[in-house]
Amino acid sequence: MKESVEPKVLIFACDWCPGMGSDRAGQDRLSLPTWFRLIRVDCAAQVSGEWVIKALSEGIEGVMIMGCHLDACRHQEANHRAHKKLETLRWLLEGMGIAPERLCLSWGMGREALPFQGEIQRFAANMKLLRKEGKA
Amino acid sequence: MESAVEQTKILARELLESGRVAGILALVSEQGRIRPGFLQRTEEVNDLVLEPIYLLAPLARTIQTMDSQATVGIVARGCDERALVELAKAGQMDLERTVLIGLACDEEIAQRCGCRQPYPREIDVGTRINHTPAEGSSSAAGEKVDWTAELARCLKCYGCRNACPLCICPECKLAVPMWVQTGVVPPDPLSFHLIRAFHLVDKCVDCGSCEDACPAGLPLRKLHKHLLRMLEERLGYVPGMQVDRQSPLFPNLWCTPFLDSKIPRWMSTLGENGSGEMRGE
Repeated sequence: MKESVEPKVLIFACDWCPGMGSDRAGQDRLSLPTWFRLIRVDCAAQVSGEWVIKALSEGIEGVMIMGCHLDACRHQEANHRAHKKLETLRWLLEGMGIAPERLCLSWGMGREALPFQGEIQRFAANMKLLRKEGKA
Repeated sequence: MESAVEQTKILARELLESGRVAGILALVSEQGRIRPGFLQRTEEVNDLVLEPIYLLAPLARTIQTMDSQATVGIVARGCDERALVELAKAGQMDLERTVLIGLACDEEIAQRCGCRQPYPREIDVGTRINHTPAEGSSSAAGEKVDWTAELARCLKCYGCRNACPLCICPECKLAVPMWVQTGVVPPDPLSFHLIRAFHLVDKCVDCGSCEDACPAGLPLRKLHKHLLRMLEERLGYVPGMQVDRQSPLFPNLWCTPFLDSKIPRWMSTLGENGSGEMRGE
């Protein structure tokens, strides 16, 4: 894995809540890390496990999936399913000896800029910690 | 008391004579070699053998797919039956058109396989052995494996996928260059093996076919054992053993919640510190 100063993080954000949250964070001029890449998807449930696996195998250090609040999905309970599906992927990472913290699932943030900032900063701290501990 | 093989032969003959089945799927010995066979005449039953362990469920699926009318008899061990149940849940098998000759594995096989349930639900031949793999034995879950070193031995022969009774996608993502780069051996350790295991999270019946088929001897089953343990601990589901229950990954979190966690509450957007509470864990 190529070492860079800042961790490489990929975020899949649902177009609705977290997408708005990220927009709002930008409008509010919150200080955000510069090293994450955010891909907006129609729904968190659209993110399949393969996407995450592929991202990790291509050298991304951490993947975040952001979706709407668990009881406020625009597609009925799609984010429940996304949560379960991706939670099993975390078990899998654990079984393979990869820190499951590399996959973060986060639900919420409809036009909420501060939580968005908080989540990203917390995840960044986790990634740095993993790097410091030298974990896979 | 006859041996298990003789008992199975008698049952197989009876079943064929009754005319309920088009044929019986079993292992047959032919000139000293053993192969799976579809026995359609009573004479053929004489060659029936029980060992080695070979999963017949995928063949039953093939036969049912080819012939939409045929009722298939099958000499089924515990793993066979679990695989058939999971295939039926996926709409790949018609259990109405399947007649099982339930075969319980003996102590030795159960030990060797490290099987948790070495018997089908209805046992016709053999006796039920309650076997729990001892903690720390080779078959127990949770043992640390150096996966980087292990997976470097992978030959990318697709044996694990081909042998798996539940790898049923007509188009396999492992063969698509977009997901797994082609022409590289060993394959990228993350993509190939993670995608394969991820697709089987809620389906794996712990039959051990993948590990048996692997020419490099990768301990693939250890990974699946870990997943199965997590699935049972967190969602209370064991694939293949709960016939009436669909995979818990499909219904919402209220119907099948994670057993050890609460459903996150709706977060007030005016709250001071929202990010801690709304995390879905």
